[in-house]
Amino acid sequence: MASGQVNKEQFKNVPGVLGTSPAPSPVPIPNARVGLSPLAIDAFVSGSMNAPHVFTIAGALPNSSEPYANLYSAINESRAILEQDDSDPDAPMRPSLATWQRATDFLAKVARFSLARLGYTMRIPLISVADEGSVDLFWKTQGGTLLMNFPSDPCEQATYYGENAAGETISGSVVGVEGGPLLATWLIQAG
Amino acid sequence: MAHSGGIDHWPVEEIPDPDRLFYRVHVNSLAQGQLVPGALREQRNPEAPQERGSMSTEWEKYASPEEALSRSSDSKKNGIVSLVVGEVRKIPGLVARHDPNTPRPPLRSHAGIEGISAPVGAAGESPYAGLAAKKRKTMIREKLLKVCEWVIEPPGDPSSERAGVGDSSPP
Repeated sequence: MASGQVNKEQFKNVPGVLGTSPAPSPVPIPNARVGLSPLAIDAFVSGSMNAPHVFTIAGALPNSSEPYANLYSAINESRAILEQDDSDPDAPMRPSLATWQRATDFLAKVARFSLARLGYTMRIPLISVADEGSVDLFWKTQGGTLLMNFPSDPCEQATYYGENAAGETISGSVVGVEGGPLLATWLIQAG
Repeated sequence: MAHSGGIDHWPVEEIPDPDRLFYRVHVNSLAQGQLVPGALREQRNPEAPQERGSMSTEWEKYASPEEALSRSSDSKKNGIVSLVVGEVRKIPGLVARHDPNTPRPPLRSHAGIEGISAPVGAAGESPYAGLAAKKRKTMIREKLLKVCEWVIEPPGDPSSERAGVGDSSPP
């Protein structure tokens, strides 16, 4: 299918996505040391949250028994990109804290949605600097890829592009957390 | 053409599809030691930021990977990937061309990959403006990564061994 389109047909039987079948009740979400309040999670899961909100990654890692431990560990490790020396002419421009937070906030929310609503523990993407101070999230699996870019300008929308093994593509942009459920579902299908 | 200080203008040649271009990758561009789309960037002329940027590479006809690496600011912090020109040209809107006279001083091996931010040929009322251009750029970077191959890997990143990241097993 052409780039710039989303093949919604493939998501029609996934509960809670595209509104084509009833969504299950949210499963209990473990208390996290970083991230969203239960109210915020409910808002995201129910789709009523349509704007980004601020939350801060705490310094301490969450308890390893939490299902999100690896995710939070990856997010915390990715903070290193904020400390990189970008005075080297060959080095990429360092992203701002706000840009990194925007990307990792989105990631945490999609991971929570994926587990709470779809029952799927999302793979962890590679979190990296990209051009002009933007931040990338990049998933690469045997079944496909998904690239998301969060621009340094907070007024600009994040964009994404993915391809699966069948050659199908997904492309678009997201405002706040909109689009998160669709991308979570894409990642499930990509394996 | 030539003067006492050396060559100041090289003839521009056509790069054959099977040839390779070498692109420097700084270790800060890697994620967990892996090559990622974020490493693929255009450089812009700081004196003319409105001009189209290009990904600065070196053509294997006139430079080895080692020579390309030697031109980095610090060869211990950079690696080299190769891109086959014909594969780059298959990506819609991308152009790979010999561009020896843009660098100062001119560099015979220099070649540019153009069209990442906006397809070559698009001008004026391009359909790829604003958000559409950003979405296209994300797609282009994802596709471009697939045609990159390490030729000289940069120094290792111990954290790359951590499981559950990228294309490793799910968490």
